[in-house]
Amino acid sequence: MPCSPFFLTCRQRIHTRILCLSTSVFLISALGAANKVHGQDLFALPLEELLNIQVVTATLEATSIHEAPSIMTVISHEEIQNINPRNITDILNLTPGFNMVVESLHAPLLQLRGTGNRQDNVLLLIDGHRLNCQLFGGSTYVINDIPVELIDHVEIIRGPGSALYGSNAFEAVINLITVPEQNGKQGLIYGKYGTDDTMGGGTTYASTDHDQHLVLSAAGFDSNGPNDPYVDLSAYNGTIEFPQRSKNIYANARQGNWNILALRNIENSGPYIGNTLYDNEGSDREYTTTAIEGSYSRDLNAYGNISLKTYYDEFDYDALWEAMPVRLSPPNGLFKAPTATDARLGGEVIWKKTLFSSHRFLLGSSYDQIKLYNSTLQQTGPSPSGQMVAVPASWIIPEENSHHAFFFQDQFPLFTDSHVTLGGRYDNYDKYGDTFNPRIGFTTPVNADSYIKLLYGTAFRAPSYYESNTTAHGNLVPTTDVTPERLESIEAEYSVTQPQLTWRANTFYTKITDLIETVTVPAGGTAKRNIGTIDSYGLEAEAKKIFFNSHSISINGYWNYAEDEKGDRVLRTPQYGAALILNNKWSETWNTNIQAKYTGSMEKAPVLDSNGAVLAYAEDLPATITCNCSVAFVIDKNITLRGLLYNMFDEPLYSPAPSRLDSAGNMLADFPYQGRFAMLSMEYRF
Amino acid sequence: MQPGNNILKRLSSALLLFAIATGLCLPHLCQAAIDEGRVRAAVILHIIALTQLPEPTVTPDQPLRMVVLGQDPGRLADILNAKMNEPAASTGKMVRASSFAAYDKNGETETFANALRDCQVLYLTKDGMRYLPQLSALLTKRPILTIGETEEFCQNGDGMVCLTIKAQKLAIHINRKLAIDAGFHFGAELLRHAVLVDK
Repeated sequence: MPCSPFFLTCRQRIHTRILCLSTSVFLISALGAANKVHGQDLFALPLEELLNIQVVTATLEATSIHEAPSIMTVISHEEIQNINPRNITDILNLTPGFNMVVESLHAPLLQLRGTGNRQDNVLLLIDGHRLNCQLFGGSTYVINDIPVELIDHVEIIRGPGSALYGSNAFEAVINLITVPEQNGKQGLIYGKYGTDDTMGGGTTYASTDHDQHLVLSAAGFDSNGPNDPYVDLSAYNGTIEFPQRSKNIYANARQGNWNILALRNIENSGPYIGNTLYDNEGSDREYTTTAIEGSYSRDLNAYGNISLKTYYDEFDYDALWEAMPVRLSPPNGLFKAPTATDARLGGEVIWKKTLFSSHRFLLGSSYDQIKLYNSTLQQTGPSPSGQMVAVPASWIIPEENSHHAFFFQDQFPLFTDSHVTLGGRYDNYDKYGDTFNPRIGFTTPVNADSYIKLLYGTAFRAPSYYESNTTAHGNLVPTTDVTPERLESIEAEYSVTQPQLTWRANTFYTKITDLIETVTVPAGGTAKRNIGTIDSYGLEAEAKKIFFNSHSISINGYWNYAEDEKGDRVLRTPQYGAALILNNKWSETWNTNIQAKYTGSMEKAPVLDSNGAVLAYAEDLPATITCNCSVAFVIDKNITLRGLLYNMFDEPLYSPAPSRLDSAGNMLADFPYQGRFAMLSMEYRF
Repeated sequence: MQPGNNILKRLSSALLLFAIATGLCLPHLCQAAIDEGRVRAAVILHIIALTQLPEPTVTPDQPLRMVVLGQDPGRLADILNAKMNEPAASTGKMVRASSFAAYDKNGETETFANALRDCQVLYLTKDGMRYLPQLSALLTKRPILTIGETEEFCQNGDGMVCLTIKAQKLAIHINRKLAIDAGFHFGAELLRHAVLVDK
């Protein structure tokens, strides 16, 4: 049937007429409202009436958490200091709905709303700059290398964020905000020492003067990680290790309307059990993340505000896998050395303006050029010397792609004190085509203390290069036809904020389609395919009570039910969990903070043969309770001593990686990670 | 992703919801929210009119001098100056405002030092709060009515009057003790509409 208004169906005709009518009403009303505002003589009104007028800010400053069109949690600077986390994932682990786990590749995985163990479904930002790599799509390759001492607060949005941020803002957006602009100069020098031969240190400096602002940070970290005995795939009595070494430098400088941001992070992770599940002491991986951004922002007075940004990001992956240890593949073992680099060059322009006196409007556009290169694979050759030789077909196909986007957001008051947020983003990938993702939010106060939010949104996640460009290596067969995953979500939240008690509860329904999964192909091997579907719904809640003015107790919890396309519950994720944080500020000089995290049990799938018959049933991972304790003691006005005892009861924590059988046909034990850990740190502030 | 059909379907669904929502907001649009800068300027004129200064530094026919310090996206100074040029402000007191984006950064028509020396009212935007340490010496030398945009400004004893946004409306906080110590007295009508914060 031709595409023409004359051939619309009855429903389409009704929709079209409603659209036209409502749009006309909107435009006429807006014009009318604008005229009415200009005609009103504010300066003739008495004070009482002036204080009853609804106002809208001209600057589109950050809206309050109540007005934000998303389920939002903010971890404040004071909370971060009181918790004294080892890293940023320790903070996320205490956030409602989040659970952090480790599978094989050392980069932590997030469990959120029961949808699986992933890191590519969350967008990570630092001061608004994207940090997800294109190679794996992951957000956690760099997250634990950014020193917590650099972070002022963390903004976490649960739910779809693609309407503003595009790909990877799939199930959450995490924005790490560094030292804010404050008058004068401030600095921090710190050092830390802990168990597992852990050492770290760094310095942070911030200066704000007139129209200049500067943040500089440098940090280093070195730890051998936990070292536990483990019987591997070959029934060998080995050890599980998670060493980590990282160096991080960060700079953010503003001069007038100009701003520049730069980050360089190098992480080196050594031997680990890995997904080959052999004790492979010879493995080593290095990730290097580089980010540079320059921006210019100008207030155009009556014409709003415009900001332009250009950026360059690079993620360099350089690994050495001991795929087969020497004892199993003499004389040299089987070593593989893949490398790849992804780079992103692009720019963005955003215009903000108050329209019709009450609409906070934002319009933006971006363009990226993304490239995968330096893709090489070497492995141990047949030579008795074990020299590495290049593999002709590399592990990832190099490629260059472009992507452009247009996005908008309009936030306006609806009835007294209520807000409606409408937004949408159009993304066009030369490889995948285009997509439009809307976001609609309605927030309203119920009374002076409480708010309701109703939210709807969709999101997408473009495949990473590893998912879309793999060649045959290991078990993987070439995969070049995966398409983006899609998500649709409805959320509702009720929150209460009183002087010493805040609490909020939200419910959600999320549907994910075209989920990229690894499947066994008939010809043998595995491949990435868009075959999965997940329906997830649940509840999240958090509350914080302040008592005796300087003590607080926070509690949060979640419950979810997620099922896949077969109607089975999504495995290897907890269905419920809770966290409790008790902070006691006993005096100006010392503070204690106790955290307890409960994670529900995780069901594991049985091990199947190639025909789908059950070979062995796996035991579920039991529920766990981990408790941490932090103490801070202010020795001097400028010197603070902090102590951390992580997992102080040494609760066994096991990876929820899929179960395997060892060479003897026995169920391979789940490998443990992070038992009890202690750390002392000293800070000098100036 | 399927170009074409899915996009149109999504776009039309979003537009339909948008149209319904904006159709519903017709009652609101007839009582649209007002630009904050204009309301703030009107309230400031009332505050100044209801405040007795410790010593008459200007004659009744002369405008009071106000310095707005910090980034001023609401264009407060421009709005106040535009009002000053009208025949008679309803409050009876006129205010001439000078805006300075940063401390010690001269304006187009006068130097920062001269403006500070002659002002009776100092307004600090949120951005201007960072200059409090530099201003502390000046504020102890002679009485200046200090107005800010954050509650902490009054609660911490740094300023006398704060105009904040609560539930999308302007709210007035007053540190009466600080004002009285400097010789200022607020009228009953102003105190009736303000939250008193004394430190």
